[in-house]
Amino acid sequence: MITSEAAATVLVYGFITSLVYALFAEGFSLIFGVARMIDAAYGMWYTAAAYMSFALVTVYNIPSLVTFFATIAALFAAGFVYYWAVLRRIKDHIEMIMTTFLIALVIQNLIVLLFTNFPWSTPVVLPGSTLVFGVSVFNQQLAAAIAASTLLILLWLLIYRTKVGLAIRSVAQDLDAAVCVGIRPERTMALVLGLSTALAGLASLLVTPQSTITPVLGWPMLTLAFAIVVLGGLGDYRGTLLAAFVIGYVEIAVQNLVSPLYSGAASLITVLLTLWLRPKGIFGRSVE
Amino acid sequence: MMKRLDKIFVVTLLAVLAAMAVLPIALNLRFIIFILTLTNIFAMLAVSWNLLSGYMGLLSLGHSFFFAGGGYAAAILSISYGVPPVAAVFLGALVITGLGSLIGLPSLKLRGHFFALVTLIIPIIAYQVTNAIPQLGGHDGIFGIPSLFQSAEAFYLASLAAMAGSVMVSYLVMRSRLGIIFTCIKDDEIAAKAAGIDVPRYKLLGLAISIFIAGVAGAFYAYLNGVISPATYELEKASLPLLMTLLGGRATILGPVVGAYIIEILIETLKIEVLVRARLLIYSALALLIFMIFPSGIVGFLRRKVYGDTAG
Amino acid sequence: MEILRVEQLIKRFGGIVAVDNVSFTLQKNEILGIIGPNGAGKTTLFSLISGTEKPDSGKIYLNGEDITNTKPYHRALKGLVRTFQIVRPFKSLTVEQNLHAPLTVRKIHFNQEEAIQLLKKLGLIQKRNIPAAYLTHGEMKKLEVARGLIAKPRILMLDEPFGGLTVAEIGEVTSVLREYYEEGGTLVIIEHRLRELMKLIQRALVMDQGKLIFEGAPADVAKSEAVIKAYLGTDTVI
Repeated sequence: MITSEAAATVLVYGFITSLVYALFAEGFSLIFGVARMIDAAYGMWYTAAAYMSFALVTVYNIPSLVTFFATIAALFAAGFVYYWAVLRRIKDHIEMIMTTFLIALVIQNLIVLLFTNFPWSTPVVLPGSTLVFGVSVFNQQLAAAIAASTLLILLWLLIYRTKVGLAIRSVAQDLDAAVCVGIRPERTMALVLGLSTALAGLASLLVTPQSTITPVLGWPMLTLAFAIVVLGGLGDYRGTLLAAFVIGYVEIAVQNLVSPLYSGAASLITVLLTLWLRPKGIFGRSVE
Repeated sequence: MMKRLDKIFVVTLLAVLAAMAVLPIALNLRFIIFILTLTNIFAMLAVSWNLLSGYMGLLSLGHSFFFAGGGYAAAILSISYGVPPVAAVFLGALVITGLGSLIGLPSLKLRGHFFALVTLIIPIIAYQVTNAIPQLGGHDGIFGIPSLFQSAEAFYLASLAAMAGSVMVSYLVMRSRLGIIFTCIKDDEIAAKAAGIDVPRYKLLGLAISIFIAGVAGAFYAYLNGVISPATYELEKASLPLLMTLLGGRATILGPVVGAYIIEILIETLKIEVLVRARLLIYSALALLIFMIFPSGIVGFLRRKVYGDTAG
Repeated sequence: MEILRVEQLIKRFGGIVAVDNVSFTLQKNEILGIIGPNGAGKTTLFSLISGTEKPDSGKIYLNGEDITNTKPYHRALKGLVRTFQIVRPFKSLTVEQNLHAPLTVRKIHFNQEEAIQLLKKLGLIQKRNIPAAYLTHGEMKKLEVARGLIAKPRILMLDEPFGGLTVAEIGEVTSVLREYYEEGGTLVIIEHRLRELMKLIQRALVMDQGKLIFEGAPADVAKSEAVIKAYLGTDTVI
């Protein structure tokens, strides 16, 4: 029997987790759906953001807020350059996965070189905790949930209510037609990449304070993003959002009600089953 | 019939093999023997990877699953069922071939890049599941695996033979009608189907062969270390065959072996303090560089110089 | 003797009906041409027959056997072979190895002499050992035809085999196709190069907007009102 406390815990933590997952997955969804590219290094941007902010705050004593913006700006720039210098030149998808995978390894090993494998503890940004529906939640997590929802709304507005978003959606639907109406595809793509790496960084900065970081942090996140995007239907904002909640809740539910050991496996098995049984996902394009 | 150049090549190869079998033992180079054994094991893994990803074009980013799986299967057969070691190696490989094929089968129909991402996920799931199941030894894994051979030298020779064997298999497969069929599938699946090729069936066959070789390598690895744990699923082992093969040459028979030896030499020579931490960085950067400049790797580059063509 | 029968095939892509209730039969040892304006559904029809696409409804019979649900590779093995409008050579394989492929999968022994003869007739013999990636467009087109012929199919379906070829190259291809026909083969050809096609075919099907609008002798095609309307529009007066 599930106690009401356990249920409340799952509901609350599930909600927070899903929001952050959604933010992270939307970035991945943009790359897949709009730029039609695969970035096997997507998890590494998450990791890099975590380490960069860690270094800025603990080593150089830069105030948290400045660090936050500096890191996001750096991630955005990195995504832009990443597209321009690397991704743009690769046509074949398999070459792209290999190259991005190798780049991920290089970045990871760079981090290992600079920080070693030691699981550093990240500083606390918002101390204390609050009761939400009777469940004790760290203030950091609460802030993360609020920030994530705000950012998700902003992202939606950006994509569906601005000229930039229109350009992005046009490029996603029909590249040639977009070119014909004067949209510069490469600039839009670079923007999309910058946006997605920034989203990865945002998700990271919301979650990593008050925990520990290791260089391999990004890989489970990558697989999560992949799982969510596949489940939701590639490149679809709504689908990704919905799928993020499904996966987020599945993970938290398994973690609290069954065993922490199986939580990761549960969400990943979900994606395997989706790929095998219903490749179209909930909405959107097929992966076959 | 073999061209003269081919004949010289084969003779040289056999000579090298013979030298490798005899010299380390004759010169009593104990410390090198362990390293060479390990290199042979990874070379086998690289050959297995190359068969699937290089020749068939099914990029696998999670080959460590088959490697560790072979090790686990052999270990369990050995310890819990008292299967004699040599038999356990082959049976273990068969077990993981069956399991891996079952898991891999539904993924084969996916487009190449999705297949690759799925292979990235599988070791991560396996890690979690293995950690959680007590029969598999949980986090610490299974240890106390009885030794395969009495002496390190015998193990070394066995690993050399197994490695050479896997190269032979790779060669025979690619030179046979299977090789043409696999290349057709890699080049253009739709044209392959139009030519009468049952693509799913042949993909499964290629997968099975690749997994078997990886499984044998994994079993050897388990016996070499006396222990197998979830750590074997980790990214380093998953990416090493890729790095080795890219360095040595994708879609070449010897490329993976050459790459394996080069990387192992690098590992050993770079045992200077700072560089130990940097070593992964160095060979991933190296692989990236090679990949972008010499897409056909070292062996591919050499072959072009010698034969003047790029036909695989 | 009827070798292929297509009954009421329908294929929709979203809102568009690409193939609209098409039926026809093909006799053994005949040369059938399929023509029509761009977008008429000719290639889709081919894809339905070869199995690359599944019809929404309708049936296909090969030698009396219902192959509507048979997989593409299996149809090829049963002797229903097609070539592609946009060439699909096996780029890593040499020209000769490209011919090897359809034979090796059928476990037919590779008769090198025959292959060489075929390559000679198509003007590809010089590039025999060169990877297909390095051929010119015309040569790749000829390789498609060679690859289709090498396994001696029951029916060879060619999708725009003359596209982009010089007059000389078209001559090479036509002569091997004639030889195949004289040895008992059956051909179905989609083409836009009408002058060359009409000299080769015995019967013509004309498609427009997914429908079959004419079936008959090549000489009568130009006289059909339906055909004229399809190609030139309703305002034209001849």
